[in-house]
Amino acid sequence: MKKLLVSLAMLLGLSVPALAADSPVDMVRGTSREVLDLIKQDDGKNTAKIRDQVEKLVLPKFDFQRMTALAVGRGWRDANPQQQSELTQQFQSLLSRTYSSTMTRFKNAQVDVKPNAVFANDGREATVKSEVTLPSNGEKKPVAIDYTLYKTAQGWKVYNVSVEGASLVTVYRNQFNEEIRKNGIDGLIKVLRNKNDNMTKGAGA
Amino acid sequence: MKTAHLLLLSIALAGCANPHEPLDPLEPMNRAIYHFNDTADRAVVKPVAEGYRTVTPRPLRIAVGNFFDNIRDAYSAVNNALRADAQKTTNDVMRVALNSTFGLFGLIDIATPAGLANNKTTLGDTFASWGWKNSSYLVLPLLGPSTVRDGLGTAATYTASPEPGVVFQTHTQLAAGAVLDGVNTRARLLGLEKTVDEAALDPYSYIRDAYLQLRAKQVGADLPKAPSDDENIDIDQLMAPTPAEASAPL
Repeated sequence: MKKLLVSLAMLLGLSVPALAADSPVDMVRGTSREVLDLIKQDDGKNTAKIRDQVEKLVLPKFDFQRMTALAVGRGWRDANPQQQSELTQQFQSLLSRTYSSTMTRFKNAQVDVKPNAVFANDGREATVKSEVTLPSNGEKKPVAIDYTLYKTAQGWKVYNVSVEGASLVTVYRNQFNEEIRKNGIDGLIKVLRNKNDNMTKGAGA
Repeated sequence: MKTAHLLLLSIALAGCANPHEPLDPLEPMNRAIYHFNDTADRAVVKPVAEGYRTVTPRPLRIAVGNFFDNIRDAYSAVNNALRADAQKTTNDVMRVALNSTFGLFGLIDIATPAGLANNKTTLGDTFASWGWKNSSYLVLPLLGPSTVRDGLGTAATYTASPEPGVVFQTHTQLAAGAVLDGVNTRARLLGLEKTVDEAALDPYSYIRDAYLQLRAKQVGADLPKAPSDDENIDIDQLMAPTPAEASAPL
């Protein structure tokens, strides 16, 4: 069955290359493979360099503005364009710092990107499902990681990631709204900026 | 026993509503228990787990994990029977049978590679599958994130655990087993607390919201919307005012 799927996928990939390059599944699969190849080269000494390379590869595949809007929710409309771009910048550095520091844990991960994406909104949105296994940890259950993408002029961009059904983006909504309620949008920007500054100092970078 | 008291207390308090998070009416109590757990973790549990990880080889830690996992499989079989899920019940019974015998009392998990899926079902899942879909968030002392539904399930499961003689011979062994299980689990999660510290503005609500989303997905429930989010947030609408977005071709 798996063989059949693989050969079907290959057949499709060969016969309609333009379509294949455009598919969200291929985008997620290609990027995961490149990331895994990169972090396998991590020998403990070149971690910072590898992290930079991974960020260069991964960041352009995300739409952080859309991601930030999703995290903030309703309050996003009340922010002016300058506040929106400031929020986006701070949220992007919070997320990329957090997740690049967990990178080494996925060194021996096996990533299985499912071939069927779930499309919504007339094909403009897609959810790509994947399963990640960490065999070295003695974990028996693969972890389900889903990516939500949307189509832009520059190709498919990811704007939501969920792990076992918990979104890494909307998990911030209550925290952000609490801050906005207390100190307004500028208050939230300040809290995020302080957090990022402290963490960079703490990491000695 | 302590857990049971807290549960009763929490149910008594469940009337007070939280204006911002409908599933956390017990927030003040939960935050207090969260801080207790966090302090206990930093002072005792985490250092013990780190020491444990230093002195034990990984294969041993995996074997310990498998051993307790096998006991949980037995409970899972009972729960799947209560959920009237014959296929999963059979699956779990076969898992326990294989792992308890050829897997040397559960130390080796041979059932998973043999194709018997690990689908742990707890009493909380059983309640959920009979209709108790959404339940208030509840932080349990030392055990961490849970819900009133799952906490009741946990308390009932502890109360119903077999008398000494089935797996452990005495109450002391039973208690020692629970500690070992806890430390082994915590050792597996070492490093997670750092990620949460880095990621969260408010670690309490970060963990709560992630846990509630995860649990809702597991039991197939829809989380109730916060009053401020009375309608579904449409991301396209939210992004619409930005000129760059409006002119983007489809």
